[in-house]
Amino acid sequence: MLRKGRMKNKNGEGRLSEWISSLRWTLYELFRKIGAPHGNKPKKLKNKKKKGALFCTAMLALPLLQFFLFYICVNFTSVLLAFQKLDVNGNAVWVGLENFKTLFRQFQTEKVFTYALKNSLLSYLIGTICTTPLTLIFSFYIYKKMFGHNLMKIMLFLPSVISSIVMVMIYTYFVDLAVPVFFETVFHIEIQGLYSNAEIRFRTILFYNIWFGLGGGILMYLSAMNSINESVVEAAQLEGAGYWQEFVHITLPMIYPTFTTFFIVGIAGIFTNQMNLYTFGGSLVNLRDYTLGYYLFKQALDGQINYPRLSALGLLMTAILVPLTFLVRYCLEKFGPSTEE
Amino acid sequence: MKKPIKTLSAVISLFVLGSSVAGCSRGGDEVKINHDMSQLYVGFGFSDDSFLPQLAKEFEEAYKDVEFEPGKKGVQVFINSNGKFSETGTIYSNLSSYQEEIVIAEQLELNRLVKQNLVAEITDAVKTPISSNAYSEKVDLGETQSIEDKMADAYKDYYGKDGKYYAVPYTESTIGIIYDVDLFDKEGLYFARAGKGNSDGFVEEEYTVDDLSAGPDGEYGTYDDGLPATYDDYFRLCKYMQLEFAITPVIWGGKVQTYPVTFMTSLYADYEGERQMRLNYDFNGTANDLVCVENGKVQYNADGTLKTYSTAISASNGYELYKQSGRYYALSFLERLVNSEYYNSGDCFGGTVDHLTAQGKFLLSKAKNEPTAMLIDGTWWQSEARKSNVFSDMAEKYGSQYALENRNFAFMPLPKATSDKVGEKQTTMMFIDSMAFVNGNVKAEKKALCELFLKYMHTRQSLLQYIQVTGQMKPFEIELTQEEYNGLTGFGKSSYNIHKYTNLLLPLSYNDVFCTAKYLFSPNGMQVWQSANGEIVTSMIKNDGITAEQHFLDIINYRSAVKWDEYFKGVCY
Repeated sequence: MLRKGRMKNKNGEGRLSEWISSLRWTLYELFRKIGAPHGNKPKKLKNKKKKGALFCTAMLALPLLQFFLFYICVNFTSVLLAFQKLDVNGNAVWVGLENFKTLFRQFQTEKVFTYALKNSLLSYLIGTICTTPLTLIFSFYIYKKMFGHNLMKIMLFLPSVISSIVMVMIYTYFVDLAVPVFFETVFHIEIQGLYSNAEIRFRTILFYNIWFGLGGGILMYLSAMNSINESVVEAAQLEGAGYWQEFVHITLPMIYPTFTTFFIVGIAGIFTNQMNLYTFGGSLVNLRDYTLGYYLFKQALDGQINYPRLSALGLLMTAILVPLTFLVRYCLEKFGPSTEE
Repeated sequence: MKKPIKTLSAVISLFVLGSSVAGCSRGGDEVKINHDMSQLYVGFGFSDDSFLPQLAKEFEEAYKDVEFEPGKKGVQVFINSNGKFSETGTIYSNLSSYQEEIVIAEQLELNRLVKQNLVAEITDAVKTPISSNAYSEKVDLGETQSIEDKMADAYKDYYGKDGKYYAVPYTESTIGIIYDVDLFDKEGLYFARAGKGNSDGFVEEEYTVDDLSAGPDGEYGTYDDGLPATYDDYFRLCKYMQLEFAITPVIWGGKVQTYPVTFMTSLYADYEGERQMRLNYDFNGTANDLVCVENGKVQYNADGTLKTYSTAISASNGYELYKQSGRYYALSFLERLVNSEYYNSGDCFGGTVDHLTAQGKFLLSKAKNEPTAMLIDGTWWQSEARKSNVFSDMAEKYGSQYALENRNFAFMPLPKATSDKVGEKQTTMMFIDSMAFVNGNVKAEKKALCELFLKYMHTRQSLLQYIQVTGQMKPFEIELTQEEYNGLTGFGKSSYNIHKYTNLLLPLSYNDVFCTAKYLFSPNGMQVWQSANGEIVTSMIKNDGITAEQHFLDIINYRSAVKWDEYFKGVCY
């Protein structure tokens, strides 16, 4: 039986705890199998255990080293940098909260932050509102193997496998050259290229990101849908459930973990999403089309003198995003559908 | 199943291994390594590689009987035009592992290369006569001048810091207006000398050089005769060619607004002159034409000219330079251009028209009988157009008269902002800094060969060939005979004239402020013109209706003392 309810296991632990337990169990099993004795050979037992431990250490060493170097060290340096300035030789000079003061002054005086923040939020909201339902519907369509699902799969995945530079170029030429010709020929209306037109350029780019971002989402949702137990679906069908009921009462709750992951990852990426702006305009993107992600990228590209201020900005963003991410996760778990019982 | 895979892997491995040792490229030709000869590897990270292969062949020929290493006679020069030499982000960490002994690249920071020991010192090679080298007994290059003697003065301070050389400049490059000389000649798009032209002030249908006006340098009989002397003249010319001949006056790539914006920097530098403009890189001296701004408004004198003041500039008040008059005038030029109808908006603001497309359209306009007279681009444009096969494709499709050697273009001398500036020697901003140097990892026994190649690159014959092949000048002095001059392409002639008759300005320095935030001052960046509203001035003028004066004031407000301190206080002063 399926019912809507809170997404919790019997012990009342959250999804993270479940995941940690699962990981712990998998590791335990892995270690156990590697280290387990095979037959009655006590002398070889120690060697096997040693080998097993060595294997596990070797396997874990690289990711741990990577995590230490590229996450712990980089972020530690980055946090320090937020309170420093760099001189001509790249040496750090301690400046306390000066970078934060500079940022707050810039927030008030420089339009770039208004544009970038607005565009970043718009991109996330519109992206989520439009992309999520479309992705779910298309995924379900393909999952149910309806008419032309294979063609649809190819059409939707194609942009994901073609280089984004090529896709952006094709798209830019299409909206800038082909669309005006179409309008002129069919409607006898003369319009400016959609990308050239500064008034609607951002919306044109936003559309690209929504449309061409569908492929990745569909891949993940489809994978989650394909892992749904067939017997559950058959049972629902025997009870007379149609496509809509199946989608709402079976598919959606079953793929809800994937859905929440997407949602939370999206939130965490609000301030770093650069919306392919660099691919569209290189370093010459108009200020009103900036996102915070592009701003960070462009400023970092400009020179190391900007690194400390960008580190401070990164800290501020983190201070906003971390509680927001946890809040959204909590809400999604509390109010989302459940597959319990 | 395993056998075919093993065989395939072996074949691929052999192929990869084999290709890496068996042959190297020289201008596209695969040449096998001859172990009885010495090898010299040159890394080339620059846009135009048409000159080096020719130079390499001549060098090999000249020194075919010379022993550079024991038991080896002659030298093979291998040129690697791999993109790794234009990767300014990674080259500093990878250079010491490259086998290339000589590197020619652009936009690298010389002081960083020196600090990281990535370059070998070449002071002797640069300061001693070209003929004086380790192999002069075998081959006499016949030149008593040194590379330093020939080097343009504008480059000596930077490259020869503290009397030591680690690199030499490679090519001159500036941004401006390229015009179709054939079209100008045919339609008589030249200003006439007083009393000799038509009612519009342009030459009559039949004209001689004696009928031409003096041009921006104010002197008759010089290379700029008949060309617009002032900004007003320039726009009069645009109007004349558009109304009288249905010519589209100017084009640039809409996707690359850096070109019109950095062209403004050319105008700005020319207005300020070499000394005043250098303040933007040295931050040491007196700025004497800063615009007075009171209550957020530009102040004017009674006669309508800008009210200006002088002040001493140091590292702590470099922001004052954002008030230089040249900025105001250059912005006013751009405002007039963008607000005019002298260009095709679809091209100049189209999101799909890059600089190569604009070059193609400019060149093709003649064949299509929809002529475009001028292109805003850099001195390297012709090399780019040749590389993208525009000339050869046109020659194939429309006839040999469209081939590169049969077309005639020139770099337009910069018009002056005001009539009182006419007659002042032009200051030409060098936008892209390119250099040649010996890799710091060079083996001791190969260094003499590397230095010899550098010397050979700067013989009179090589300098002449460079301008003949590329149409660009190297920043070295060379006096051409009339015959040599006549043998150049139209563009080559104008490059030679710009070099010879204008003050070159190298926008580089070792000043701490400059080195700390080079991107803020670099003329080929857009930051020079940035305000809180953005940096793409052309778009702001076109889409937001911003005026030159407003943007000038916006820049001053944006680049305030507070912001300057945020960048540099505590690290530079």
